[in-house]
Amino acid sequence: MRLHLPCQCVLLLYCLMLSWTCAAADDDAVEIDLDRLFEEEDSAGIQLLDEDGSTLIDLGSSLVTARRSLLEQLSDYSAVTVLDAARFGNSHSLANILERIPGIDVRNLGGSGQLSTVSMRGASGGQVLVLLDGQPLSPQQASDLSLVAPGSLASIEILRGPQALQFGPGALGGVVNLVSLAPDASEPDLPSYSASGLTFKEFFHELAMAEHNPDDSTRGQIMSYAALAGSHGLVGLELDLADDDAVWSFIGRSAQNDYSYRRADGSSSLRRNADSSQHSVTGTWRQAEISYRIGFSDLSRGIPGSAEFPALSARLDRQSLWLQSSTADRRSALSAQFTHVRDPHPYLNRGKIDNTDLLLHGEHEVRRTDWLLRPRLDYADGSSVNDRLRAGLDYSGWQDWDHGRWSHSLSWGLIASSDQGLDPLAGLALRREFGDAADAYASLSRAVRHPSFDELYLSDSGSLRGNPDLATETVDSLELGYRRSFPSARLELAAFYSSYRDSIIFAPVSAYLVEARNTGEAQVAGAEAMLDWQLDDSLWWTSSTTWLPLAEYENGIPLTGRSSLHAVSGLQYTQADWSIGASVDHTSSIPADLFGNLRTAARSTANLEFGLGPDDNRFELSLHNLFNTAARDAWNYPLPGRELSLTWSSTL
Amino acid sequence: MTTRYISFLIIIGIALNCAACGGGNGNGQPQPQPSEIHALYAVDGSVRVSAGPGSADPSSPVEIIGGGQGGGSASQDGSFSFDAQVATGSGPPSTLTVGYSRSSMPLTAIVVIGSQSSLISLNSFSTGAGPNDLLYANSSLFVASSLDNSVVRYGLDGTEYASQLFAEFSSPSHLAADLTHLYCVSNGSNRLTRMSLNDLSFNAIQDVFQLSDPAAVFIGPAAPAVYDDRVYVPRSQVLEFPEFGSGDPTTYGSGLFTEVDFRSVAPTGQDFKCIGHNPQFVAYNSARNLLVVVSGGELNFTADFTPYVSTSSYLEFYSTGRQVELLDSLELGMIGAGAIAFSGDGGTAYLGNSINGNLYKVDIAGRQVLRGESSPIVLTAEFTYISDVELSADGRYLLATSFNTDELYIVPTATDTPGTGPYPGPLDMSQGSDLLAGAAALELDGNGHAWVLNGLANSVNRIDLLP
Repeated sequence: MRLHLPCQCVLLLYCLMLSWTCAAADDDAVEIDLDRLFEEEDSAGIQLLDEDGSTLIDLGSSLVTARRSLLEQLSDYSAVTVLDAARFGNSHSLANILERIPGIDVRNLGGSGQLSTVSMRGASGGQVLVLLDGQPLSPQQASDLSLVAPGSLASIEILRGPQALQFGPGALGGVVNLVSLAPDASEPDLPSYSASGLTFKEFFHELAMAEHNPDDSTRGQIMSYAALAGSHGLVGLELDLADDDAVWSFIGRSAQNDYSYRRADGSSSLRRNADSSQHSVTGTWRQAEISYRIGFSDLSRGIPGSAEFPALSARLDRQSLWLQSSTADRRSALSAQFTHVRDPHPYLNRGKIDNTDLLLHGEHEVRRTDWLLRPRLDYADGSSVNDRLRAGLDYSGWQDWDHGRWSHSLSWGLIASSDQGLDPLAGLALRREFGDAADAYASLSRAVRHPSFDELYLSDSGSLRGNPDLATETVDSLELGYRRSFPSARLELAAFYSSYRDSIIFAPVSAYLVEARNTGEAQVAGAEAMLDWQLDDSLWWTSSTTWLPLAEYENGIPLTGRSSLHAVSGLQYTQADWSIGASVDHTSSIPADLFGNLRTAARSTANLEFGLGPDDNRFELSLHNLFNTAARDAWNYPLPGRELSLTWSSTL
Repeated sequence: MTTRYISFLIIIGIALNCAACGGGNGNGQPQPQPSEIHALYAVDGSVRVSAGPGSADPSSPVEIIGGGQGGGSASQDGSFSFDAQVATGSGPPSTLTVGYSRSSMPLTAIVVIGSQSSLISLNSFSTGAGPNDLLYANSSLFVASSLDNSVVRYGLDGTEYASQLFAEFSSPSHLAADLTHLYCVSNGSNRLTRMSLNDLSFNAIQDVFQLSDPAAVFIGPAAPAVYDDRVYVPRSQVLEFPEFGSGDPTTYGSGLFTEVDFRSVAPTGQDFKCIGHNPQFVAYNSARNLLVVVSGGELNFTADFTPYVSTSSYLEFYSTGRQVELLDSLELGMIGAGAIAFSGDGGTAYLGNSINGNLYKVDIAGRQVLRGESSPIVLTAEFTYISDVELSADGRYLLATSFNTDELYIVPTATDTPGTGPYPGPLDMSQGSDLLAGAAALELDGNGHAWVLNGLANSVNRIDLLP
């Protein structure tokens, strides 16, 4: 492998970005006066003004500052779900957690540790942006959910629908932002509006009360650990060290995954070479106004599926590094991914694979109350592509207008890449409140996605090859939503229509080669509903349904991997020292090839989660696919059937 | 009385027969039935007008007398084929009037102009994942799917009558059959399995033979032939693969085929060394009682995945007696020879190949190459390979599938020239998408249908052949 960009340059690049962030922090530090905020709670569009009357920051961005998230701001005109750790604490799989959210289909290519991607509202995994604290989880397009352990997360924020204007060229179908555990800050832990189940005004009241009754206690040094064991050889250990200044987490996991599964004809078979081993270290700390995060992950995974060979030995080794610093309105991030794929027995007999590739992605984001600018750099070098650099720039602006119960928003932007040119984006949204407890919104948007580096250049396994001639993906979307809060429940309804052009898929272009290529037009239309109902102080009932009657190309061929109906319903009962959750999940038949000729059978699974003990000394049991149904993934591969895991966690 | 009664019936019968023939011509002679004439639009807008043998008087003129212009003459067997230009004054006509003669009688026929696509039923039925081979036998279609490891027996309407699932990664890939059994080669598990042709059942001891060779990283068992309860399985014998995308050649061992004998309680095997490398097909030439092994030569790929061969292809002829013996061989040159089809008398063979869009023709009787490396039958110059070939039962047409262009070619064997005959061009097997469907295995059912397996689209197309 030829690496023409020395590591020193990588670090230099990051230091430059970091210094930019630090300089900005001194000039533009933002303070929030929550007392003043409380006094102005009657105003739907609260703004904080400095002495000369110019806008310092709006309410949404102030929350963004505290929680490092944009979603509260964006929830006015989009479907947003926020899950706090308390709602997913018993699950060890991010995929299992996300499957409960309306609009989401998770594609698992095997059991624990195997590739797992998320599809949203008919958009492919490559069209959904997965972020970790705002930073892309992977320089590659389709992010692998199996790389993240939920135990390291404080919350998960899901924003459905195109969001390229806010998050850049990857967010055609939606955004999943994983918020990691953060060191205890001097500010109170602000509640989340979306997760609160409160009306807008009630939420502000809570917010202000939080300031009036601050938690003065300090965290001190806290060490916690969790040990995980489960079926298919799953073992894991998680260590967390937290104090007022920093949180450090170490996670180690491995799974054998040589699982037997039940086949369509009732017989059982063995799936081999799907083992995985993963270690990661993440650290988050805060100095003054700047938050820092560093993460390193080492993954080794067997790749099953070279169907012509019984003794498979394909293997992927990947080391990933994340560095990020962020302030109230600036964020600098650098990620590096080194991948080594070995397969001496490739499909179709074209030669053994021994590919090494390095991908670097750096971005610096400057965000103000009504615009953002995000220069970015991508670099790739290795077996698949030599010394390739791409510069890009995202710019977007937006303006909100309030007219009592009505409000509307206009947004515009540009996405530019040195190898793809420049594309405009635009969005228009309208919202109306109905009383204090309900609102409705409509949004119209155009979003684009420039092909990622792996789609353009990389061929990291099997007979895949990138395609430098790929065109930009475009999606025009319309969304209608209605939300209503009840005294103990929250209802969310949304309908959506999206028209895609030049979507990128990997398709066979000859008997010998699978290549990234653009498709023609495709249309997706559907509706989703979610009801989150607190039946009493201890009992929650959550149901979500996604109906996708239209997901097809212009010639009528269905989009691969999209289910037309996905419904999840679950109950969670929580007491001081124990909790239990049960859910059922139904997924309709899924088109499993590019032509719609293969379809998986519909599947229904039942899941059970049980927790015993207080938060600081807890035993948890998770049973996924309780009745061991013969489930298949979106590509018609068998899934491992029943999966069981046991977790013991304790705080010292 | 009886005689008079019989005579009366004969007269009535003749009268009815004449009426059925369309009436007399005034002199008591019956008129010939109109021929079945076909007209298909070509890509350039012209219309290919054709009819089968016996349709017209030999060497007689045939011309368009309505709806367009053009004409030709019938061949010695009475068939004809020519291109007509249709009148476009008020839109293209839907019919042509064809004038011709038969039994020295001038005849006219009004022919509806059709399209080739109307002959094709795309996605006649879906298969398992990654179908690799298709076989017509016992009024059923059998499909081996390498990704979901299934062998399924379908009715011609796509009804699934029986299925057999093999262990994961078995990769059932090639099929052959005799009157009672279906034989399936799995190139993942390197097994040959004999199954009931009816319900696909098999006995794990009596019906399964395991191929093995510790020296080969890929045994690569391929398309077998069956003769008298013995199955002949060709083997690629790859000893080492090169780095992916390096363009370096693959290391092949000596080409082998294995005779698997099912006549005893448990099958036994015996290996035979080939002259050529990388044998991919064994075919039984029943008319000449020969086993013919097709060695394609060492197949390699350049760094941009373009296939090429580095050694010659061979046809090897073996006896089928008590002991298999090499009788003769024929070097074909660097053509990457692939699928083979024999003429009815076994004297001629057509060969597909694995590197381009050419066909090759061999005189089996004379052991000589008729259309070889220097003078191939070029179906297409596009990047593809000819995945399968079949000859129609009457031997008049050669059918060939082109994998990378999703096409079915139907070439008259009288001319060996693509684009001649009833079909003005190749038939499009793609699935209404610009994605590659992968026209792979091809079968004829003897009832006027061709069946094409789409290896990437996981489906089978039915083609209604012109009579």
